[in-house]
Amino acid sequence: MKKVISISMVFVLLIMVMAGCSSNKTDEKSEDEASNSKLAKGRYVEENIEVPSDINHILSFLVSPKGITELYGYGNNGNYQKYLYIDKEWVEDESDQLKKALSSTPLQIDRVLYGEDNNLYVLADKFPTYRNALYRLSDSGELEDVGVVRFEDFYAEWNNLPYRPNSIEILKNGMIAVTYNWRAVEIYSSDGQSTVGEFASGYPSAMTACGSYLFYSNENNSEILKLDVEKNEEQASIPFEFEISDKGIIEYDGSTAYICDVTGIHLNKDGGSIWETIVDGSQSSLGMPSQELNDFILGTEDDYYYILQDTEGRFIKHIYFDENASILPVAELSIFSIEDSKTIRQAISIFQQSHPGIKISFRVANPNRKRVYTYGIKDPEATVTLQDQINALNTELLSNKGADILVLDGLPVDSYIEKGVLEDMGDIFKPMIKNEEILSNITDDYINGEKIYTMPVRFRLPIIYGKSEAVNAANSLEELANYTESNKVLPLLNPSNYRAMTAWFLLLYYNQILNDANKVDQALLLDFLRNTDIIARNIEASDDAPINIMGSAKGAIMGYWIDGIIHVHKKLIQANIEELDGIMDFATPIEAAKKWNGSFAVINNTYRANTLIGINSVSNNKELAREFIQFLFAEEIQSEALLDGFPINKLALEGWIERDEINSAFSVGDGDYQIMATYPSLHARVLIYEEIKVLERPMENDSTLIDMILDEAERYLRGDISVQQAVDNTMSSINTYLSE
Amino acid sequence: MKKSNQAWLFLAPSFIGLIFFVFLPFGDAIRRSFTTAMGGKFVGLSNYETVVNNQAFKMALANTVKFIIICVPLLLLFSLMLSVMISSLKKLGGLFKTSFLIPLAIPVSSVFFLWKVVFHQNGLLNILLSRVGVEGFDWMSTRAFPILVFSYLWKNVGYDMVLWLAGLDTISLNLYEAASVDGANAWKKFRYITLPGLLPTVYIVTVLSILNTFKVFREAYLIAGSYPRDDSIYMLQHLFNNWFTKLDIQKMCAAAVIVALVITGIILLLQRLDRRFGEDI
Repeated sequence: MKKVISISMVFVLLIMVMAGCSSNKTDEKSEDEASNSKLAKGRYVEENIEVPSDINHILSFLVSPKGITELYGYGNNGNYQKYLYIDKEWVEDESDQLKKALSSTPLQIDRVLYGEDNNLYVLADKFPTYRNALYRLSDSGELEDVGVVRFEDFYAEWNNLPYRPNSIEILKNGMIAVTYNWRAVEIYSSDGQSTVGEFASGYPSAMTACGSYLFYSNENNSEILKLDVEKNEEQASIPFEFEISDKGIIEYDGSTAYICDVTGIHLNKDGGSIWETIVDGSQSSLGMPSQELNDFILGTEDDYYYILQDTEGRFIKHIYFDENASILPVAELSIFSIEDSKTIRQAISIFQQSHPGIKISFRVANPNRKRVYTYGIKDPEATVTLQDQINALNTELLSNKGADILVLDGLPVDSYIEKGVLEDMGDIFKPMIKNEEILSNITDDYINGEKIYTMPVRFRLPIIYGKSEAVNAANSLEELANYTESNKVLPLLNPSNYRAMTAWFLLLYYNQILNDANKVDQALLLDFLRNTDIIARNIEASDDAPINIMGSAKGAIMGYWIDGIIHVHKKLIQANIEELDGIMDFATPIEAAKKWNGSFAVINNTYRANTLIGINSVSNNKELAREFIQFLFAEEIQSEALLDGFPINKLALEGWIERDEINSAFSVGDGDYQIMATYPSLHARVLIYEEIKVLERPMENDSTLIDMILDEAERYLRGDISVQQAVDNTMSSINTYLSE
Repeated sequence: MKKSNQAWLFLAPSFIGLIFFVFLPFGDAIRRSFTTAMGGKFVGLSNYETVVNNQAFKMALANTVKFIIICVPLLLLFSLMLSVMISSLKKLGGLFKTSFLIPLAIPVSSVFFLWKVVFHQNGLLNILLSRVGVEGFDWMSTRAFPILVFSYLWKNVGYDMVLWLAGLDTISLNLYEAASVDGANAWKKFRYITLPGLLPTVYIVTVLSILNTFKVFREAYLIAGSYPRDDSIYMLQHLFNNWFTKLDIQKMCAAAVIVALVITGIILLLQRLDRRFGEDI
């Protein structure tokens, strides 16, 4: 009996092992076939809705309580207009009550909305004060000021500074719910005279009303709370685990909650715990970084609308279920990157709109980065190192499973080229170079013999600005150190952390520590460290100097010399170093330099390549990858200013130089101290172009080598070791590294 | 069913696991050692030639050999001493046995933090040295090799001790009693009974200790990263790791085959010695 049991056990174990290792191809295939036959057709598709030609500015796009789709806007001559969207045609509403009411009560309308009480409301600036006011269109066709007291309170509190509520909802009993940028939800009585509720919310735009219920995101952005406003009690909470952006919008139709943001449209039916994504943001206009979600509207026939906004104005997009649209893409293209790229996201959205059968997946190893660190400074909260990410990618590449297109920032590019991981893209770029479509001074750095394996999509511009003498001395670190020795009255730069400071100098002057054989030279490295020490002492750098933390569009920025701009403007330091991503980034530095009658210049003709792109040599979609890359470098994509660097496309760059955003104003502040600046003048823009033309040196991409130098430099500057010891240690590590 | 068939049946699950998780991957490594990194183009022995002439490989190999030569005898000696002492304890033997095994249960990252507290420039060791007027070092950066040796001994001494204790249990107590009657002292009992009795155990303890030296990479990596400032702890595993990051899989596989051959050679040699001495006993 024992024998039988033992044999049976061994047999079962063997079966389990074999089953675990067996191929599921046959099953997968039959499942795929079955699902194809069932779900081969039918998905949500996006279409553009052209607004009437006489509408210049969209105020609101609504579905009325009667189910009619309405458009409110201002015309080319500034006149208020209302259109109805009937059978895919725009019809001007001749019986518009609001238009009549406005003739007796002129207002500067910000938005129009229907309340749950079925009344029409208008948020507008009232004349002559230009202050927020909420109006209700009465049954008799008159506009009645609701008289929200809190609106006036804020003006009083902030010395009449202009502001706007983020969103407004009117509940069934006429109560008014308002969200503000400072992440607050406030509920006012229907007469606007008193505040009946105050809550904190994680997303200032994410709020909607249904009957007497209010839906808003909780403070931690982890669930939607359903509040019964009449009873002032929380009725339910709908948790969501995905991260939505600040511009996320919540809607509720009586049985289903919706969230719309850059990641797509997600829905959750009452009582369910799972959110279904019906539209993927990256497959629609929602994912385009150049456009911002302005509003999301539920249609009446299982369809949706969203309003997007860019520098040109607002657009309406319609999402509907197309039963005949193929559910499976004709082709799929995959892109891998360590960090996110706005330009790639932009290109994906536009490319997919013009190629509906193609699905492009963009895999980012470090998504949703809340903090940006300067070179050399590692994110202390990162749980996965760059090396881990490279190793994971290498495993894929070795099994011929890597993405079709690789973004090579931070990856061992030279090694990949040497091993044949990258495909020659000469056929894409050589004609562009020949026709002078792309900047030859940048592209020259990426021609490898007769081949081109990689090319940056954008480039960032490190500049020094401030006192002209200091700016002019920045051609070499030695010159800069000598300058600081003879000009000690004011520090050259803002104080900094040893490592952050050395990283900047190393990347900017890396070529100056290389010998004729392009290897790090012992004597030159020694000079570099000594000169860094001179400047470190001049600017009072220290190991303990806090790395600047500053909130910005990118999140918190760690280690950059951003504070320096204020100190240049205050004339507390002579110059500042910054890395700029676009023409508008120059506005405040130019203003700060003006205080010194100073100037700005690129440093050592160095630039930072951003979004280095390459094609995986074992990709099965090489032709599609080539087409996408060609599109990525086209003027249409490159001309978008997405604050991720300057364009490589010459026409796009020249367009940037020519474009004058005369009405744009910029400011940077430190408490009460503000620098106000205008968009760079044509003269300044031409100067920027001249500086770009002389760029000839990409920053070193080898983070291992840079870190080896930084580790020892940091110890030397701290005083732990002598300069000679630092050089010896560095050379030893570098020699080991290079000998591998 | 024949007894031999039964044995094969029981061995089958682990043998199949071994095939899938060890032999097949190693077979793939052998194949890759004769091809280019990508594309699989046959290059003959060129990868082996590259590896043998590679300076980093020579340095890593020398460091690894040095580490094995220093650590393994020390470990065998210390663990043997401990096991003999513990086996002679009538009370508290179990407690000591467990205590020496605790390091095995401590995660490497925790050990690293503990070492940081002790061996950092401003750590406990330097504080103690300064009390007696000796200037300390940045141990972690410049004296990493002794720390690594210490770390290896500390972690593995308990494991080897258990193996020795198992060997000691196989020696008949009658032999010791007879020796006592003949007037043998403790040293003579150890020299003429314990040591010869432990010879069969020496082989397995040595092989396992050598193999365990390759696991010290985790400590070395945490102490000094991919490229240790102190060259002396740049081990083969550092090199393999770095080669993988640079996608130098062909070099990595060739080096792995070389190392595997060398280790197999050492094990075969030890086996032979074991058999020879075993026959003598």
